[in-house]
Amino acid sequence: MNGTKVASARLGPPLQQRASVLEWTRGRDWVWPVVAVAGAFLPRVVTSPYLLGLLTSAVLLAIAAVGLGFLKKQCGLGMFGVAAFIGAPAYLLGIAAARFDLGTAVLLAFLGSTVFALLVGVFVVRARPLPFAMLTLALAQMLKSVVTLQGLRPITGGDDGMSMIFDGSVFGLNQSDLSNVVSFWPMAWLALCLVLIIAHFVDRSRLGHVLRAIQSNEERMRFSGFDTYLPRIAAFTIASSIISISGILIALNTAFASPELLDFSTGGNSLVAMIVGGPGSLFGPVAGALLYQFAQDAFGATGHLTLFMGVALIVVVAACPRGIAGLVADAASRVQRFARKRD
Amino acid sequence: MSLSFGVAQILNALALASLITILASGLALIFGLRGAMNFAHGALYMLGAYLGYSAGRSLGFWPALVFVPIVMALAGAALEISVLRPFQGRTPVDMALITLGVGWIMEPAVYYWWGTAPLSVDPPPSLAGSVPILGTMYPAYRLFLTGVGFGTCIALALWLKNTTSGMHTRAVSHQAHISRMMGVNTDRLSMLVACLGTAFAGFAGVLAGPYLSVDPGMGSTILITCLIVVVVGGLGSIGGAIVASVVYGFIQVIGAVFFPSAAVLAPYLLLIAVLIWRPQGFGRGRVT
Amino acid sequence: MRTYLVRAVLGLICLAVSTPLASSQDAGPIKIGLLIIDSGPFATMAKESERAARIAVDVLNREGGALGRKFDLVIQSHAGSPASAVSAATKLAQQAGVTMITGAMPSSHALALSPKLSSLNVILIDGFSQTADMMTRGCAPNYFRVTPPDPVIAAMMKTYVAQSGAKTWNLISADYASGHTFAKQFSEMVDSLGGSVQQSLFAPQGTADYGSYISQLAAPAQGLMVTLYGSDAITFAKQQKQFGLFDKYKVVLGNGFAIESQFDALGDTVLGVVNTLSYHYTLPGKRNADYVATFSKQAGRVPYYGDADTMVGLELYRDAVIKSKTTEPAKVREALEGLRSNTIYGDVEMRAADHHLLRQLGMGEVVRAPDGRGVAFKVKFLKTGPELYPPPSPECKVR
Repeated sequence: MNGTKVASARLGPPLQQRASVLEWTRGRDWVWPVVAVAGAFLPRVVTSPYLLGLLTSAVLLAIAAVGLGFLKKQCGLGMFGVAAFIGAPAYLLGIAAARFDLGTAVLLAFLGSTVFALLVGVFVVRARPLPFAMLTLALAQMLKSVVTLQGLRPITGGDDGMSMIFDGSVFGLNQSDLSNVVSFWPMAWLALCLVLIIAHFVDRSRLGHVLRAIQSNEERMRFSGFDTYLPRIAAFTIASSIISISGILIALNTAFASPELLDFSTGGNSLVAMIVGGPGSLFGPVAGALLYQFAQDAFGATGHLTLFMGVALIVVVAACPRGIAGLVADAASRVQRFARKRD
Repeated sequence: MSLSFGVAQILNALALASLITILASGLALIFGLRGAMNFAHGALYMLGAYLGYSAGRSLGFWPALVFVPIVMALAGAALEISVLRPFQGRTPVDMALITLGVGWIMEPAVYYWWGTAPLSVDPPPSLAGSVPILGTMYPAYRLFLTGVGFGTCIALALWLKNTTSGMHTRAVSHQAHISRMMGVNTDRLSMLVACLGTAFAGFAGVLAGPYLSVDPGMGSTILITCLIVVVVGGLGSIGGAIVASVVYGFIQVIGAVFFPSAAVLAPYLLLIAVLIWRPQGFGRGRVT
Repeated sequence: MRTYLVRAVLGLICLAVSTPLASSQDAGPIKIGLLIIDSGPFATMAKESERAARIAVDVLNREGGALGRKFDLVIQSHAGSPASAVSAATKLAQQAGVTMITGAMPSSHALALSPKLSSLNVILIDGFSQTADMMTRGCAPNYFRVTPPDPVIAAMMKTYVAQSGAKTWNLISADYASGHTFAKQFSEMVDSLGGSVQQSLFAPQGTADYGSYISQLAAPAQGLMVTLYGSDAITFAKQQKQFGLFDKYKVVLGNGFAIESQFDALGDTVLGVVNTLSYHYTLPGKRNADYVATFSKQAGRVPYYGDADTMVGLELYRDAVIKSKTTEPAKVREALEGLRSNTIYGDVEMRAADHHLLRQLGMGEVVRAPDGRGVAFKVKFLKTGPELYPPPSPECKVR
């Protein structure tokens, strides 16, 4: 079905009017597989391992940002405690990898995070947006405290963190391949493509429409006979699973999990990246993540970075709620309209 | 466990609770009126503590205790004019994000000015020793802190209940439109409340100096605690915030004695337990 | 369209930047990387760490550098997590082309960094961490440490504890890995002397209110052992003073608790505490005297143990580079193993089997400073004791 786009000030003008990448590629669907495959070969073009490492970090950040953006767009919920779903899967991977081979460990970590997301979602998804944000934040902090408990030190490594030794391989990559950016890149890149596909198709599916309708007016949806609870649990679980992929990949690449992964500032990175990039669009979070990663590298000293993050957050939330993607889309549609007028 | 040990622990819990109470009340006030959860509250508390350190050295403790909240009230006015008022129509999450950004700007500014080394503030000589209480020697400063903390809250409660502006505050937080129609100047009221809220944060910071320590991490640590206390107490309810702070204080102190390693989890478990049992928190909703 | 543009621009940038970096390992200055943390609890040391390294490099360059080349310091700050430490080290090794890295690294960072050193092809000289793990599972071919680890500290304290005459002990330690290991070792040591540990408390890092701990510690014992660090140390010291806790004890010992860099903040609250001391500016020897003079002139104060540990690490690196006649990490590592050198610490040896420096260690009492205002250390004893070091662990793999 092509209709029912929920038009609201937050999400921008209806999709048909808005210039977007998706618009341009309508009818040119071959672009996507080409880009996806081409991107996997980036290491041929980018030979500096340092720059490639930076791009890899940006991609992993982008995956988390896409998950956050998905949740924001479909449910209108901003998850402040995103670090919970980055750190928890990382730790689950470490704990599983100590006992099983790598492939099984990755599977267990992913399944465990999804189940965890489901359980959390059952409780939090009905909260209003602000309490929801605060609850997720408290959850992340709680996980951080749990992981540093002295009693659990043999399992979690306590405040020193946990280094992981991988037995076997996953998708054909073993431990040393995973820690090498050149061989790790295709995996990260393809994971990003995968989550973008998931986000896109759920967005356009019936579930996506239902979710946005619930966001717009929950009471009416209930009166119309829709269950408003289960779809949101589904959305929360999907978003958290996407974020978990980011956490698992980070753990695979660094072979390390530490309490800092669960700290709010780690989550703050993806949150800022998502907001700056623009939650309403599909690629906004990706752009935000790229910008964020390079800004972090440029600023180096964290003091300046925090300052920059604060300013960026205020400017974006205040002035351009749709983020960079919104700015660019507006500019592009203005250009398009101008071009059409001239014809 | 002897009686004196038990007495000391109860007093410890009350001292901690009183500090949290001052902060949580400020947070609840601002939330009640503007619907904005002020994520910069921790940074404001930290700023108050650092200002208290400097003012204490040049002016002395007692003048600092008066001077710093006044300065912080000015900061509150700035916050109101530049952030809270212009964005008042935005969603609560947007407001939270904006205040979060403000906090992120304030922290490096504090480090830049005072450096990142932890600083030590001494209590004033009149409060520096211990007094005998029920068989144990207990630090005078903590008793002072407890008295001041709860006294402030009682004063706040009296203000809300018995004065016109207090009544207006309660009215606006319940029904902003109708209050405006009845002639309440919500902008001026909001300015008053913002100044009060930030002054409270600064006041708590100065008081915390001789009690805890003045270090760069103090803002973020206390913020989470305050958020939990305010949510558990019922968003916007001052009475609820007070009760929640006392519960928090006791849980922390008792936890530290019996389950020290797991005591850090106590506040989060409290939050989860309360939210499952009574999702709107203890209190009766908006500023009461 | 925008994504295409972004990718195109990115591609151009990549092509421009991806020219292979000239490794310049055979000419030009010898680059040394310094890791500093500028947020969180360790941020307070950032400036001091940087200054200590600069002064050390300055001294070494004035002594002629090594192999006719001068030393150059490259600083990389990071957020303070093990992951950010690894990224910072990677940036130093791959972008800046350093051949040696040093700097502030808590135990968790050391553990995270050491497995990566070989692939980064860089030597790490740790002048900070204290965990025993770096003598066992944390060992790596390119990892070296100059600081004394917890087991050695506990062994050093044995004589002093025996002499103190205190038989019953209370402990308060940071609820950290290092706090627990040290508490365990200290307790074992006290038991072996025929004494007993009555209470062993652990306070989580960042505890704001030590009241309940102080109340528990008021239960009488003869000796108190405090292992708290950083701002926790300051908070605890201040609060205990209000309760009058230390006065109840015959002897109060500290491990990393009462340190010179925090004397300004600690003040009178730690008078009388006898703390571990790994370096004091009064250490005999000409090299140390010269170093203290140079440092004092540039920094306006005498060097503390952190500054000295940075200096000695760089000194050893310089000596190893000269001995191996190259900066190639594989060769320098061989030169460092078993290296005997005369440094500001006097004659020391870098033990080949586990890459740890055999060096001095002792204790100092906190007394009123000569100028009558602040506090300072009075050295009780400070000497090299190779016998304090446990035999190299079979778990340590440095080959």
